Amino acid sequence: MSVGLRLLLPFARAYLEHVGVRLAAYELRLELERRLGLLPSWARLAAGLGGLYARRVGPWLELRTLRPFERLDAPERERVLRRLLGTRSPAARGLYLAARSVVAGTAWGRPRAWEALGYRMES
Amino acid sequence: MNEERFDFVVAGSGAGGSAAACRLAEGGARVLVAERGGRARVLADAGEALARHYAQSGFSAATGNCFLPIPTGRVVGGTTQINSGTCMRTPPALLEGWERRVPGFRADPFSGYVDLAWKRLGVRRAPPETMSASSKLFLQGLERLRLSGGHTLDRAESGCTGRGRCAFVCPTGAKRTADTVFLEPAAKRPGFELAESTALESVELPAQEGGRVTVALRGAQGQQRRVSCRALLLASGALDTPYFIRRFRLGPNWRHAGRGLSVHPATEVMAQFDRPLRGWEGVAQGAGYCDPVQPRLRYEGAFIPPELAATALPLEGRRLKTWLDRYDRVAAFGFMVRDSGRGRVHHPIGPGLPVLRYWMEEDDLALMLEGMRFLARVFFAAGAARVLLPLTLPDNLYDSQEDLERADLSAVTPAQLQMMAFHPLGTCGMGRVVNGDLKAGPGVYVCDGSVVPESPGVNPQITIYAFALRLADHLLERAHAG
Repeated sequence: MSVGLRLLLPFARAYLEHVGVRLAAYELRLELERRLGLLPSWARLAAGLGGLYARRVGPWLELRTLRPFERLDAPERERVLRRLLGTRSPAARGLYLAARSVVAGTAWGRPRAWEALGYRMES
Repeated sequence: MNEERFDFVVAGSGAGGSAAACRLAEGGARVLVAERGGRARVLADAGEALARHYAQSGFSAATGNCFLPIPTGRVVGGTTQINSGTCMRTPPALLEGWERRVPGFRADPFSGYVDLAWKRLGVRRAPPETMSASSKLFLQGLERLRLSGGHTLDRAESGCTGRGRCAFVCPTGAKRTADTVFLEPAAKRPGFELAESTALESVELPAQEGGRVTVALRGAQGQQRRVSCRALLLASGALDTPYFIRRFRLGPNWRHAGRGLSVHPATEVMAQFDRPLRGWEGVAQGAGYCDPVQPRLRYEGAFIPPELAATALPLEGRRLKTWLDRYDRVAAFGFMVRDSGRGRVHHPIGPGLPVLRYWMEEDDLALMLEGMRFLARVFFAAGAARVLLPLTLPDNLYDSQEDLERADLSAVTPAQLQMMAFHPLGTCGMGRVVNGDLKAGPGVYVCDGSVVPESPGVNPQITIYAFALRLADHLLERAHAG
């Protein structure tokens, strides 16, 4: 397992659970690995660090708790996610957005996520 | 290693590089174009297209007093493969200002090159049948507010059917990109070569004016080529060309390369309507509007395809999911600001990984907020049920115009804007790093967005093409005279 994936996976699992997107564990890993593999190495690391930041630093910043993101309840997770998106530090925001682009892309970047709305991802 | 000889080497195949290379080849010169990227591929997934065709896989962003993604293309055809195809002529007032300030620059002849670029690209008004739902609603909103001036935009396309994938490589080939308009015809000329996946590695200036420049190139398999030429044209874009100017001290003003970055900060407002719109269909940037009172604001269409929307919306968690569940009812429209803020680019690690810094000025911030409010007003006038402002604030959703008017946005900082910038320019500005003939130093010229000396306030591809065509004619004239 790559470093980026190892750092990102726990946050990704909890994020998808929070937003109600169901993916089998192996499918999640495969998709995250695929998306990370498309990125330059520094961006993979940034995404991984962003995942770690979201998982560990986010809860501390918003709730002053050492519990990681995956051990928060739904309202707490929602507060932490809003805090992460709204962070004023450009560097921290960059790290979070790097993670978010991979995780949210996994949640909503697959064709079946849009079938109900009639959108087909086709070339 | 044998040294190859060409008349000209062009580093980069975007708007500037392709146009200059083609013009030179048409003039009988032997031209080698080195392009770091590969060929564009049509892909079903916009996310994968982003990763494969954008520099840094789309992870290119400036920090400073804001977080500002600045996407550019790394592919044959450069950023023209991933732009919206919108074309605008360089404003005459800008040209007159350059003529006053930059020795060797003349506005009238330059306008001739603008016309030439316009004609070569086959620019035409976007056909109404290709307009997206968002553009139609925007124009409708303007009409209801009794604001005239909404219009369809001019685009470089032929046969567009409104697939809405302009920013992810046109799936039908209708968009007229730098490679289709310039490189393809050039490839038929003897003595022309396009080396894909080939990076410029080093530059050696001639010992004296008039001597040959020697460059080292490296291909995808690591193979190196040494090439000597009469002149090297740097056309790697405003974020990468400064690296070569500084690294190899190309010219007397090399220290200034990398500064003066202008970007046209841009954003979009989204609105939810009570009926399906299928906003992903149609040309995303088909309509426009210029604020008659505030000329530094220019409104243009925009729409993020669903598979990328989650990564770009200023919403998170379950609020994000709720919005995405109704994404078929979402319209979007954008605007850009002719910025007074400036940034810089430097390369502490090496080429291909620029570090970008940008500082938004107070007046630019005020314009960004003004633009958002205006778009929201237009969407409400068009019947929107709800509007989402591009602010990373907890309260960025509004259910009515009255709600929005009550909102106090006076404390918003640049760091709280959700924005992007698509027009990095000025880092080797004409009159500052290069002269009026775009010359940086002996045998080295620049012809990409980095030479545009100030924020033009219009989509810049026509201006860049014009600079390149003008430079090519200048070099051909010198070659024939010499």
